[in-house]
Amino acid sequence: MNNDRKKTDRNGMQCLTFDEFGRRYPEIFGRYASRLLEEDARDGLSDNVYDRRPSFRADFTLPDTADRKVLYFPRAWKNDTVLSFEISRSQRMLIVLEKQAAVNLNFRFVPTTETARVCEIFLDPDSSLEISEQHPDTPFSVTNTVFVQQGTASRFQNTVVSLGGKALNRHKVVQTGSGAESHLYGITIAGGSDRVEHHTVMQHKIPHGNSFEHYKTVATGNAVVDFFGQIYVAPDAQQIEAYQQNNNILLSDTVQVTAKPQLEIYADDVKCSHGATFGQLDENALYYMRQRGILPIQAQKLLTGGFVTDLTGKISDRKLREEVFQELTERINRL
Amino acid sequence: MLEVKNLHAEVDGEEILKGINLTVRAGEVHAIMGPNGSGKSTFASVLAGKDKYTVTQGEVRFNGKNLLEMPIEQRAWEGLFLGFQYPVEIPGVSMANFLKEAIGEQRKYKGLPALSSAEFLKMMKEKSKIVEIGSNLTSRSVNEGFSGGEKKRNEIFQMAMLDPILSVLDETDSGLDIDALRIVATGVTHLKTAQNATIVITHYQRLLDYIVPDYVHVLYKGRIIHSAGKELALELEKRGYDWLIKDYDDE
Repeated sequence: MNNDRKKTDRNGMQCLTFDEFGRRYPEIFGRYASRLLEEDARDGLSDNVYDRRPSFRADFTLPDTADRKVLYFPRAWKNDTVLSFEISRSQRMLIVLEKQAAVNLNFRFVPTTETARVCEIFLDPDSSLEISEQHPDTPFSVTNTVFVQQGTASRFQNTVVSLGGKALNRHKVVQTGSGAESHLYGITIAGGSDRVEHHTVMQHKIPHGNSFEHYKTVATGNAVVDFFGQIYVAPDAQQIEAYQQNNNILLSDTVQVTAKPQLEIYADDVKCSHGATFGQLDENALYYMRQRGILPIQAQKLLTGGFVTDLTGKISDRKLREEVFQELTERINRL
Repeated sequence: MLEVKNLHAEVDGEEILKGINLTVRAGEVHAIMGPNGSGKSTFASVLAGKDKYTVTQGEVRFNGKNLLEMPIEQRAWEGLFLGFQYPVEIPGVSMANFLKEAIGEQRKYKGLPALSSAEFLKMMKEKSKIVEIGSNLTSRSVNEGFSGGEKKRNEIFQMAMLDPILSVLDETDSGLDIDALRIVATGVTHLKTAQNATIVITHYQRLLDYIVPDYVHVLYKGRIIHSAGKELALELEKRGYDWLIKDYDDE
């Protein structure tokens, strides 16, 4: 079982409940906790212009029984191996990286009930955080909301791997320091009556930042998969590069896949692009594989697996990457 | 091993093959030449079983069995290999997984036990030498980022791994510089045995300097209009196709 208390280590990394952390470090706790939630509530920037309603509002009404956890990484702290956490029920999380900390986290959702998760992340200058999220195919609905604030020259990478179920994933990243880099990646395999929505908000408030978003979906059956990618570049945020790509493979006639890029660019010396593709598997590739003696159904599986490997490749830990790819392969086989 | 009788095939209602007859025996190399648009690639595709084409008449027997009745992958298991004119890039699928799957199915069909990972890797290393492809090929995606010449060499590498009894090489020499041509041709010759056969579809004579054919056929407007020995290739190189096809142009 997961004993998070053991994760607090000699080098100063803290893994404590809100209460404990607040008791020991009230000043730090006060500086961070709920800050991003409050800012988001005030921030009209992520309003959904398509539906004319505020779209990115976290569900703050978590049950009292929800876990409330703080992960605090002191200056220059580094992982030797990925730190994994299991999320089995509703949770509030606060993650803080001090300067030059370099952290690799993995969150594995294993819901035992309807789960709402809200996570606030602060990256001090020069810090780096990589997160991989594993979302299973489960009957319990999951709402996963992550807010990230990035300081100068910080790096944030999130890869969300969704195997279906009923899920809403919202990732909002705000660059408040210059020279920051943000990477948002997502893989969704959906079939049956799965409903998965990915909503990203990428805000460049300061010049000289980069962001890269790439979400891919393979959907069949009666699945409904939405990607809503908002990018905002403030008027003074010059020299920004912001890229968004969404690729979708549709394997049935009844699937519903939507891509909604929404770019609001107010600075004029920037490079921004977005793209979305919808298609089926490459007929020529299928023919080529069959001519070598590969069965059509197997060719389809190989191609589908091949479609996602560039994104699984973003997971830097080899063992984890292979585990994720295995899970994806199994899910693809079940489609 | 291959008997093609009066083969007619069409695409989108237009007839491309208008009655092809051809017999290929074990140990033979047949060259099929002809001007562009004659139906050379169509013939290769129809043998492979590409869905795009409909056979309207005729029959093809391969190893005594009805080839046209078999799905694409079964023709491969029976020992038919097509060297593609435009090999397909398959991003994200490694050469190793691709070939392991292919060979696995073939062996299953033949009732042979599966190859162990070690045996398979050994085989890949061995065969990659035949076309001078680095053995770090295993983890690369199929044809991804390969130059034209590398793609063609990769076709011959796959041929070496799959060990077919009939290889149909469709314009294998197109887009190749002289070095790549030499490697491809040497590879093909290296794989030749008394039990297998090759059909080389080519527009130019130069490949046939290396892969010496037993028979040369000229395909024009969907029919084989002339067949002879290897000297025919040289003659076509010198004189072009005009002298042969002019009698057929009125059709």
